[in-house]
Amino acid sequence: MAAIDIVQVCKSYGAEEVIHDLNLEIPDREFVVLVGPSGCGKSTLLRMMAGLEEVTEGFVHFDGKDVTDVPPKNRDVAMVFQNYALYPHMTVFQNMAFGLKARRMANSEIEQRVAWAAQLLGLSDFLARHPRQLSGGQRQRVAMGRAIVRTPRVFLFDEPLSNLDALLRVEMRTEVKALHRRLDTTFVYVTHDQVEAMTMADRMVVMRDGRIEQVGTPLEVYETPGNTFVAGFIGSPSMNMVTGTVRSNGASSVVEAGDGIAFAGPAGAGASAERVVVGFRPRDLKIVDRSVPNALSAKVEFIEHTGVETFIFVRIGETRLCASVEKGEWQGLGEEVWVRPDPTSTHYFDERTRDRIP
Amino acid sequence: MKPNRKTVRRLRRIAKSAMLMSLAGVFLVYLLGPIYWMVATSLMPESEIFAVPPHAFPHEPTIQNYQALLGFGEEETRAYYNEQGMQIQHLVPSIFNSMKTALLVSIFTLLVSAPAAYSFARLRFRLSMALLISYMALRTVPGIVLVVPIFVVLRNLGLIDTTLSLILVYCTFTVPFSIWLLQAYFKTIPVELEEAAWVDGWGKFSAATRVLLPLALPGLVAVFILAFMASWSEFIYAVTFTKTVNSQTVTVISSSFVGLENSRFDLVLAAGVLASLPPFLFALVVQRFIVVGFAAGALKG
Repeated sequence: MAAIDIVQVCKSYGAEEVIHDLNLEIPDREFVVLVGPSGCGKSTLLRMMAGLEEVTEGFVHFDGKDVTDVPPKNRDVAMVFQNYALYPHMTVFQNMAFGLKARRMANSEIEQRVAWAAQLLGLSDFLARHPRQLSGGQRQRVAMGRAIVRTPRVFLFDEPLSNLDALLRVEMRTEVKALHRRLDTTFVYVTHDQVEAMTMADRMVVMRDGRIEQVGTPLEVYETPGNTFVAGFIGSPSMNMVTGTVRSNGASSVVEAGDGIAFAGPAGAGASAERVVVGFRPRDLKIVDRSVPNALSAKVEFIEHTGVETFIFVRIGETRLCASVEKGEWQGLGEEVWVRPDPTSTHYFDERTRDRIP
Repeated sequence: MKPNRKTVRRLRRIAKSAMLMSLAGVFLVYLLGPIYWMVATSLMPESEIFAVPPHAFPHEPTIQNYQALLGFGEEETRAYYNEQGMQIQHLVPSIFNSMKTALLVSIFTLLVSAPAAYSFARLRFRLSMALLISYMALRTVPGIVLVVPIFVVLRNLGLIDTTLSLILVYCTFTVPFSIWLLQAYFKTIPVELEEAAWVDGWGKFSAATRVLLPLALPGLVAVFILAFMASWSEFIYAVTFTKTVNSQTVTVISSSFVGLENSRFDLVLAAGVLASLPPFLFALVVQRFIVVGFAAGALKG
């Protein structure tokens, strides 16, 4: 168990800096998910916590102690790799016992611990097998077993589920989460899958280009995205975003985009003529009666049925928007509809800084 | 009647395998022919070797050549050979010399090239590619060019006619080659396996010896065999740097049976058979360690 503190960390490969002056505090026993598009530096950050990657500048603290230059073998962390990295020449038992052997643990205790972990992960019948004789899901479990037998201070996961098929991934997601509850240790989990991040995290860290874009609970991040990147990255399908100009007329204000589109403006509107990005999730784009104020006339272009909800892609001039409605509610293609974003769930961002306007 | 599609497909398959089999047969004859000829001839008396037309197999098989080489022959025959300057009693000691040289070269080659290959495969350092290429470039110098300079160096060091001299010289060409081979092999083994071992609490050295080396076993065995074979069959350096039965290898002694005045091809061929046996048996024993695909299943399969 350990709290992790990343202090002003930079990482360069040669002249290219991939992590820029990054600060992050991870409290003890928290399940933190680092999420971002590929190349955003999330894996590099994780590997720096493990000690596998040199820190160019800055510090990594575990429980307030500087471990920046401590080699991985002395950090007492466990890591689950994306491709499992099981030792192919060892049996499942030997794979799990390997880390305990490094600590010169007594054989009886090693056997006890491996048996416990195997039991927990449903691997008891496979202890004598070699990794090549296991299925993908079983290999994944062995990789986790190898991590949990050691009861390390920190668990690090580097996209551990991305090689599994969709069904198994959902199943393992719950298992990892259950494991966290059971082991009550700090988990740091890297993924590019925002659904994985949303469902598993106590707190998620959204990263892009070696910088942190936003830190918060999944619901905080979903409901109040800090900038246009987070708004677009989290949630599926993506948030609709339209750029326009604020026109205030007395108490209320409107945002005018091209094509005769006008949205309700932000509360406490800023200066008139300010350029803003208006964002609203597909769920918040309602199909309304044409008499509703600010209702927009749109043409239905595509319809996607997911079974649970139906996505309707509409077009207003050159602007394309997506609305989500209950299933079966909509059939007509090419029809004209009236839509309006729910003003209480509309987000506004500064067009220049891309940051949220509160 | 038009043959149906199934029949056509079967005929085609048969024709294809017949063609492949006959090609393989031709190649087999090409490979085994010389060896058969060596064994057959070694079992003939000298008079039969030069029979016209040649005999495809010994009509009067005899093991007298082997008896002479192994020291069981009649006293007077051996005396006769010795008179002609053929030191046939030296063949057996020379096989031991060859064995000693080849084994030590193989072991030394492994000890040096494995750590060197690890650095090339795993560590990033300046000029690593340049160094690697220069190793290979130096290997392209024909061995015979270096015979005289190396002879002078060895003579100054007082190493002429010692097994050590041969070991040192052979390593100069087995080591660079082995480094190349091993570093390429190491690179095929995912670095995540070692990283997993580091995180598991092992140091770099332990991770390399407990994870990398066992997985690289086929590569290590291949290097061992290649170094062994190269030393075993080497002739030019051996004949130049050795003088007596102290260090003469089997290639040197065998060649002594072919002289300017008198050549005993029956002895040469019998010696050839005896000299082929140790590496043959050796390869038979170790080839089972060359199991490719051992690393399968380490990562997502």
